Amino acid sequence: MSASSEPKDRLRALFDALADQVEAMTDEEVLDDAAAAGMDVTAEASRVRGVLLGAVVTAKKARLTEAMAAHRQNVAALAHRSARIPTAPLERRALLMSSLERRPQVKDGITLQHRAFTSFSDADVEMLLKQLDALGLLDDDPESKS
Amino acid sequence: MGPKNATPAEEYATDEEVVAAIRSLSAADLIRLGKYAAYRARALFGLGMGGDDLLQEAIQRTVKGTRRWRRKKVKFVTHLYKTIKSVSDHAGDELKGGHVVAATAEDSDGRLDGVALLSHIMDPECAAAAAEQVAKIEKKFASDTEVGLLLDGLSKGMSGPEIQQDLQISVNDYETIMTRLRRGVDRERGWRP
Repeated sequence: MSASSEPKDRLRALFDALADQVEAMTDEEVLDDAAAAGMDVTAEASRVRGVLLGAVVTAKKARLTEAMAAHRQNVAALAHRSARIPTAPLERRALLMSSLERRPQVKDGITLQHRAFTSFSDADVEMLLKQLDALGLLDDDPESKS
Repeated sequence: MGPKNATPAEEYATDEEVVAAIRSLSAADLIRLGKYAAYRARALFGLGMGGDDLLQEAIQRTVKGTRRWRRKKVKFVTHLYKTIKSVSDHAGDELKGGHVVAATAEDSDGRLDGVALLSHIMDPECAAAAAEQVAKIEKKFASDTEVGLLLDGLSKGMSGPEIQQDLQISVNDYETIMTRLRRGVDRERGWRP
């Protein structure tokens, strides 16, 4: 080999060329070559297949772990927001009304879809507050006042 | 709305289709893939990666969606070759440049962790090991002039056709010399490259 390049570069050039050659080999050449080298073709094929299938399982687990982490983050963020909703029923109603007064279109939509606000149960109020909070439409939401 | 030329999601393989494609690979496909990945890994001297690492990385990118397989347009085995080449070329460019860029961060198993890799590739012991391996190959083919000339061409960055032209040999002659080289290199480590 020429001394014009680093040993690592020479190895790279050599093995890249060998890889290209192997890629272009026919099935017959591959199998003949393997048999001539004393390879247990069935065992090696099974081993490589196992590596590939194992990688699928690893990737799926990694994806699941990432999805679970994202879900936990979302739940934590939601819990953080919910903590800002008052606990007293009267305060909740007051917050709901003030939030809706600032957004007449949302208010109209809710009255059309449901009924008069006065007949809302405490559970209805809580659910609406949570929904508005998730949308960033609560009256005490700094983003909603911009 | 996505870009006009975006690939419809249904053209990409699902996990189940990837598994089915792996199961349908022939023995020759699998052995060729294994050897191909092993050579690509050896080309990345200094990274400490093996062929199986590259195979796993290719599948993981396919399943995670960073390098998806368009199952109707590309044969699965071709997709794997391209993905392995992409991974190894990228890592190889970084090795050549002597630096590590953030793109390798997607190899999240820590093998390509920036600081560790950087210190490893700059390690004088690593450089010495590469030189030793080159010397071993040169010694092995010392009496084979044709292989020696081919190695010279490769180390100068010449492509196969360029080497053929430079040595004034046919494609068949080139392939014959390459095969002799490959078998000789393989014999150094048993049948597995």
